[in-house]
Amino acid sequence: MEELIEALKRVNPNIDYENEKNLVTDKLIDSIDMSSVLAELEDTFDIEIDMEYIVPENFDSVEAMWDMVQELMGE
Amino acid sequence: MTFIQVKFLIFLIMIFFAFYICPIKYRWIVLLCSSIVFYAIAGIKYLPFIFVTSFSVYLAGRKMGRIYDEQEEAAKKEGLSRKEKKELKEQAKAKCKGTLLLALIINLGILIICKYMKFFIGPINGLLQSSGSARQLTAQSIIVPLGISYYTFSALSYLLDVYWRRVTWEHSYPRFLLYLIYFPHILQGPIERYGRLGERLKQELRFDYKRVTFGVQLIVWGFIKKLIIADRLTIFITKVYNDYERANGLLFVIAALFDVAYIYADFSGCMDMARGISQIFGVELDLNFDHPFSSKNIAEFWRRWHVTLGEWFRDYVYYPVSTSKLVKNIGRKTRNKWSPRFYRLAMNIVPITVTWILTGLWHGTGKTYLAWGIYYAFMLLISSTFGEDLHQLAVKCRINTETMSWQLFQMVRTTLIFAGGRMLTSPGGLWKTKYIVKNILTTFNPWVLTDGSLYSYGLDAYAVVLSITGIALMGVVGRYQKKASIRECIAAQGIVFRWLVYLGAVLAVIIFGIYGPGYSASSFVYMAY
Repeated sequence: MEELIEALKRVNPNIDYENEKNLVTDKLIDSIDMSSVLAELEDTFDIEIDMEYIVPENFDSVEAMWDMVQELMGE
Repeated sequence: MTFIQVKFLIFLIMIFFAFYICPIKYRWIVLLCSSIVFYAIAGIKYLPFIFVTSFSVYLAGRKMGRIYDEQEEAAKKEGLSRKEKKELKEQAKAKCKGTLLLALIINLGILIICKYMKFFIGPINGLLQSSGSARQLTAQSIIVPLGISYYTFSALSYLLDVYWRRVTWEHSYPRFLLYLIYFPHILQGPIERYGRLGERLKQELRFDYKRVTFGVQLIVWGFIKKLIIADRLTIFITKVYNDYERANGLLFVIAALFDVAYIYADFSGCMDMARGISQIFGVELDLNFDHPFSSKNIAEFWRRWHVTLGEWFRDYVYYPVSTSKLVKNIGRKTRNKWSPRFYRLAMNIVPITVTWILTGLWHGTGKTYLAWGIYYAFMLLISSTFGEDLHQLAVKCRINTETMSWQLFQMVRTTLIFAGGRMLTSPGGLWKTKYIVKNILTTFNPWVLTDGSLYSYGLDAYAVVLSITGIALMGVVGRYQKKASIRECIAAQGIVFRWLVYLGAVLAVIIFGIYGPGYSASSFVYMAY
């Protein structure tokens, strides 16, 4: 999880990732940031995030992102 | 038939009674039949197009859905490793790809041919002539089905959502057809997702007095925006841009600002009517306008203006391009070499440019809309790259960016950028835009406000005052709406006051609405898309 937060902080260090639970819904991560977030996650965890995973529910909190990353790493 | 015609109101009243007389479980069939009748009245020649789109997409969704269902069944077998399950999933997706591509080609093909055929009339006629045919194509002979851009985009969103496993496939064709042809949204949107509207249409659609009255109020508010404000403003705008050699300086500025208010009143008025009509039947449509003029920057503006179109392009163009190999490679090459700001720019330059050029071409054909798309791509890239610098500069200059005046500055700046975008498409040609912009920058003529020039473009002093009052009313209502529901507030009042408000609103539409000869309040601007 620490690694995930580090990766997200590289995109935008001003967000309180630990406590925000609606990162995408509340537009803290907007679509312009999303391309950088995807690239960071893919490179940090050596995964490929397919379009079917790019839905707000998977990016609204670090926990949701972590679950998604775990699922993709496990596959 | 559009929402502002008397025959539509008669049609709506008839459906209302038929809908609520019918048992609950059959009410969706009333909506389906009335939607088909509505579309047939709008133009029976358009019906085959929507049937081809709905049927081809339904079949494609069914085929992909069945492949995925089979794969999920196979994955339930005991003893399969993660790797084997993943392989099954990938095989299923690969099987679906052909179906997806075929359905995309058919439906995008129909859309492109219908919208862009007019550009190829010359070459086609040349070919017909050289082959000895006496037939010649004309612009009038090309059929462009009403609402084709809207229903095609809705259909494609379903198709891609099934392919990406975001929604469960629809088993019933009539249900799927209703999702596409549902009459409150067929002509001008919102561009609804199957996952939302499809599900809402499956709920028990019961009578709810409060919701019906709220729906009627929203319709009347839409009428006020359209008939009192938009249709009045467009007279001035059209005359100034048509008579551009006579108009100059400040008159062009006023026309440009009126144009911003016009497009908002026209389009959001139509959306209010669509949502109000749908509410009468117990079905909520997505919000298409979320106080766009309160936006701090142009990116936020486009998240609030024509929301469903923006979301469509974000999900089905921007994200797929963002996750393409090309963009990933750009990201890898620039991440550690460029500063975070320019890395971000590098990552977004291709997705934003592609998305906005396509958004421009969705709105219209020709160079003006291409320029419009490039303009917004440029503005968004500048805003996302240097927006923070302006904020830092303000902080260094000891400007409190939390004050209302700073927020007002941001809102005015965003509105002016939007006005600039409208200036590219409204006058009717880039050469005219160039002439007007040059004229604005080189002419100083504030006296047009007092010497009567302002009133020589179709609107007299009374009409100008009425228009400005209408714009101010939209602003006040918008501001209040952000804090509380105006309809809830009216509903909480006593019966006499409540009915005085309703009666006043209806009388305002009748008295101040534009119905005069020579100008027909017959269509909404976004119906052309």
